[in-house]
Amino acid sequence: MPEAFDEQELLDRIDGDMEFLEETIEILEEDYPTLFEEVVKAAAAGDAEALVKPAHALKGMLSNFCAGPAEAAAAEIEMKARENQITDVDSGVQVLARETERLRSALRSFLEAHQS
Amino acid sequence: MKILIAEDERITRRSLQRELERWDHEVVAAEDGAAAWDLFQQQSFDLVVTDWDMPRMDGHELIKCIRASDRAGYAYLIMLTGRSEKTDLVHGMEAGADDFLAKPFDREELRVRLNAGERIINLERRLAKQNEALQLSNDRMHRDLDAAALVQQGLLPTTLPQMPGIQFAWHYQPCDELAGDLLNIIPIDKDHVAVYIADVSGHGVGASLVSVAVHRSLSLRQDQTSLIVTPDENRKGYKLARPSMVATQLNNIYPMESNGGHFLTFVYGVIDLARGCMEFCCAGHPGPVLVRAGEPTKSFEAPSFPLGITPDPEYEDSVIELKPGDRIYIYSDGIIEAGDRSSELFGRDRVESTAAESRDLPLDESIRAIVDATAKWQGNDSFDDDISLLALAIDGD
Repeated sequence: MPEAFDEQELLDRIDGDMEFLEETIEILEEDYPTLFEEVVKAAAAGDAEALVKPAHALKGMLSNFCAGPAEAAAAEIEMKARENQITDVDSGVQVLARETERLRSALRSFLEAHQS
Repeated sequence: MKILIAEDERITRRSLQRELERWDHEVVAAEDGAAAWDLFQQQSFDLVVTDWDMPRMDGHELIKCIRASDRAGYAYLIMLTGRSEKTDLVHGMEAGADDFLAKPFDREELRVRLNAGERIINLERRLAKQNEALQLSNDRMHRDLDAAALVQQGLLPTTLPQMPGIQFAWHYQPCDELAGDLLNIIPIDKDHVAVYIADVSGHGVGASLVSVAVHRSLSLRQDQTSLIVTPDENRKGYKLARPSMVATQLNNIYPMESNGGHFLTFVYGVIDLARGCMEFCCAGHPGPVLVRAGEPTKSFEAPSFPLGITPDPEYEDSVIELKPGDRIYIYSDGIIEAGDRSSELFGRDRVESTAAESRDLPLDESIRAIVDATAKWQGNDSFDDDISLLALAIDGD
């Protein structure tokens, strides 16, 4: 299984600024649940149009953490939504949930390791 | 630089702001396009970084609003776009974005794109400054030209000579602020009136300066002498210079190599009311047109060198015997060289026929008829050359 995020790339991106990383993780914790809920609701309603925006926003948010698997999951949902091909999108939503949880956990561990 | 960020996704917005502030830019961040547009209207920004998909107002709309605004100075616009969103990129650039940056943005890429933007902004500022200086200089030049044009127009006849048995009229229309054409009517004594049209080659300041100098050379001085009137041998009276002598002297005074390459064509005549004739001389200029009742209208052409071209030209005097009701027109080549759409010139024949057809009109209206016919021929009344017309009419029986 690939890493939840690319540690070196992330460190380069934030220029080793752990304080800033903590700030962005806090934003992730605050904003992710709302966006994910929108994804779930739109997927359950079969509303492809309503699915595009939260999936796109999540893709952008997750890309900031060099989180390849989670970003790819959001990107796939967005692409299917744009193409109005969301009959089997539930599995994609589950992948997104799983990968994002894995990312959040990995980020917390990474932050703790570098702050101690 | 003062930079505005429009990005609804908080982490990207915060990351951008952090990077830009670390490079000592002044940064204002907006959470969507509408908020960014409000800020843009209230403050002055050098550069805007905008996301594409945003609530309330998207990046495309924001870019269009900024480009349509009439704010002073150029705002450099960088569009944030996903790596796979090529269509958005094309639409963004078409709407007026200057550059794009793929998300998640790369710090080095952001830095070089900002540098490119800063170069453009600095160039634009320098250009705006230069344009401002150019505008000031242009305004000053126009004021000077307008003042010079007033001086030049002040050289035209202000009143027409009131002499028994003869009337005068003229029309003068420079094609620019300053003209190379010059005309005058100079009453000399109760029996003599001099008339002339000079046409200095070229236009603008150089030609107009030569025309002003020629005017001074031909004007009567306080002692009533000049090129056209010289003291007689015993200095008790004066004598009129023959037109050919006036042309010869002007030719000596104004050689083109001493006058910025300007030469001039010239027609000069002296009307002798006692003898009932006009003696005249042409120097490379169209000859007078005589309109006489019961006779075909005709032009008096005498091929000759313009003034200032050659050191020793030969100029000849000609005489038109004047009869009651005669009209004589002299004009500059701006009339006959006016071309229609197919570049066919108005020509001497049309001047003659229009003058003949308008013979029963008052003299000033007949001049107007020739100008109007020329304008109609070329399709508008904005001439490419100066227009000068001078006419005299001998009273009928």
